[in-house]
Amino acid sequence: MHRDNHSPIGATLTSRLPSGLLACARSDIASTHANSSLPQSTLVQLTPSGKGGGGGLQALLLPNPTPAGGSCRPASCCQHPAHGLPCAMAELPPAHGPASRAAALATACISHRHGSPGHGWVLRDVRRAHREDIDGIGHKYHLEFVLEDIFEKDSTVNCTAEVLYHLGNKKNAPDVQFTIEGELKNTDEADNAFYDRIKSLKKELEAENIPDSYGHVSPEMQPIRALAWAASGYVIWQNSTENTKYQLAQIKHVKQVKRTDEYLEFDYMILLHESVSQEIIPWQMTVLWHPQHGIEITQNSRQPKHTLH
Amino acid sequence: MALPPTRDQVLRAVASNEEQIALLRELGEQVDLQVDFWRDPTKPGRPADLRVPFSRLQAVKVFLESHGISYSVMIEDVQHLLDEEKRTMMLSRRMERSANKFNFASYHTLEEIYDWMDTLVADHPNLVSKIQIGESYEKRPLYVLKFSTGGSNRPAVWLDTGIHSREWVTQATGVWTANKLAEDYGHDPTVTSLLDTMDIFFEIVTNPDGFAFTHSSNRLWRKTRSINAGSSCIGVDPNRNWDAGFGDAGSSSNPCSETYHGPYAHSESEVKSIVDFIQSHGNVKGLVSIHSYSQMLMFPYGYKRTPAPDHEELNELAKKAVNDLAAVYGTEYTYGSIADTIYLAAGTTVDWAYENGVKYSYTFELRDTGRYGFLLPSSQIIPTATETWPALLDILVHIQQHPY
Repeated sequence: MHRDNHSPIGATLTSRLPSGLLACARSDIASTHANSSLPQSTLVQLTPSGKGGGGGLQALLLPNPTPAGGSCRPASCCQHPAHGLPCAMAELPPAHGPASRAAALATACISHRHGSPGHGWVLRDVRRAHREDIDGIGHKYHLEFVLEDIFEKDSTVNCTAEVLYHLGNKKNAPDVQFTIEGELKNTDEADNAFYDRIKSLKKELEAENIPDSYGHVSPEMQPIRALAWAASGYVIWQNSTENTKYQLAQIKHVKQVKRTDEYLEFDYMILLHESVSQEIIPWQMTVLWHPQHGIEITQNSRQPKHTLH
Repeated sequence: MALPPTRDQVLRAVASNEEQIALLRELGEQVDLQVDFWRDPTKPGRPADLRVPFSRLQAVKVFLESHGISYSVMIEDVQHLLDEEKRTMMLSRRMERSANKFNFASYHTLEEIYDWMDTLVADHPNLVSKIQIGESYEKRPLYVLKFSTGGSNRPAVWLDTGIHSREWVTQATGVWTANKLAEDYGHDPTVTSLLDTMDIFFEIVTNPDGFAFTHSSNRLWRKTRSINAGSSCIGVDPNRNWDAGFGDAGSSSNPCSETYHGPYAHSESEVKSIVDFIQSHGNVKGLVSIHSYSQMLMFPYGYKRTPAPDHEELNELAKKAVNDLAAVYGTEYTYGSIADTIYLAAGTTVDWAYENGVKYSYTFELRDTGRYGFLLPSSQIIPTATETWPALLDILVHIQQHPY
């Protein structure tokens, strides 16, 4: 089985794990950390040091919600009346700018981790949001939000996430940890059906403009779109900052790449819409997928704007 | 086979005061006179049309003359007219000329929308007219539908859709809404009352050059199509080109940017035409500029974080409108000032309007929240327009009830 020499981020985590403890991180090392001050199902992410890659691991400390811990701002040290968290934590209007951007990023991360040709989510609603300014590290958003199944509008799932945007160094993707309430729908059947269909094609699949100008996606292209949705979650996560909000706008072009092994490979040219700048950004991504092994983005790159006639 | 003409007549009577209105109503109630109102007496200065049987003509005319109610003979021979009407109806049966037969559930080209505007006017000649307020960069006419039941420079509300051409659900919602206004007048008490007291000016394709380009070349084109001196990039963001915080943070000075504010405020004819129109009108009391997507209802300011002086009132009204919108299909909107709700945006339509005497300035961001974004399936056009309608009415009614 041939695998690209790119170390896939989190590939091992996309196999059929029960909903719950996952993260988008620069390393695929993760462990649960028993900490009585944290909610039961929270994962503490161990991240490599900020300077890019190697070297020691540095534990990322989450704020201790009890009065004894956390950091205080020099000017005033207070208890937030509503939730007892340290005052460096500010409650945000959940639906507005910064919170919605953080939630969109968390959604992208969840899509990347759990999405497949048969399954995807879009952010429906942000219920609560807090922002914590961690001196010397960055801004961390604590979110409660609701996702909607892209195939079944009335099917929703509640999530929480912590999104950490690192200070300064723009090269570091944000850290995202999330939890999903309850069991996720099993989409093995839909995934396998898609897999079998593509494997049995005489000619490599090729298509463009999904959805088309009128918003239509043919039934045959739904899984192609869902796969792009999941894969773009990775691209979005890698390129997000506190001041960006990316959405997959359209698949301009997709072409299946012939492989000798069991993986399916698609070369996508997608358009991302960034809501703050309003830019439409063409992006190329090469996506590997297998029903049991999940999604891997082996290559991706931003394209120049004039690619759009 | 034609019947001998009965020579029933239709008289057009114009009452000059409330007393005469009452008299006309009394006339209608006198059963023996057999007066049939084709258009009811409503307000002084507005015509009332009465069909009067030949045998009662004398009596009715005497009544009108003795009370000093001016009238004219509008139709001398009703039967002849009815025959004519039947004939032309049969001829045109194959042609779907009626404005409400338009397929509102699909997206249309610029030409189709412009043609439809003409049928709307033809179907509702006493309510809707089409005016041209200017030309686009590429010399396309900028058309505005005027909804008015008369009066002289009544307080008015400005509505626009499609200022960003890729936001297709907005032009489509504009067509549906214009049709709804025309259809509901005379039938729905709220709409009737609104249009009896205020005028509505509705620009459905506010950026026709951009719109044509989304059909011919690039579905995701946002800006105008004006050429930028010294740059190969085309277009100015028409919602950053207004003279309110022009050039500030939240707009770009780069012609290649989607939020390029342009060389100077009102540089775009699409924007200048509206500015000139609203300023020369002098009595515009509300403005609603409709965009997509995000599901939001917002008001000034966008160019600064300072709350607008009317923030509380605007916020309360937005809250009500958003609740009434959600009541239709459960679609959730957020609301607030532009700066609070999304980000700083300088040089926007609503900020300019607000700072130029239009207190009730709102901007909608219609469906959805990103699943389809700009490429909203056409099956969602009518649901979107339908749910937006009560929110729009809330704003219009509030404006009507809070004159200033």
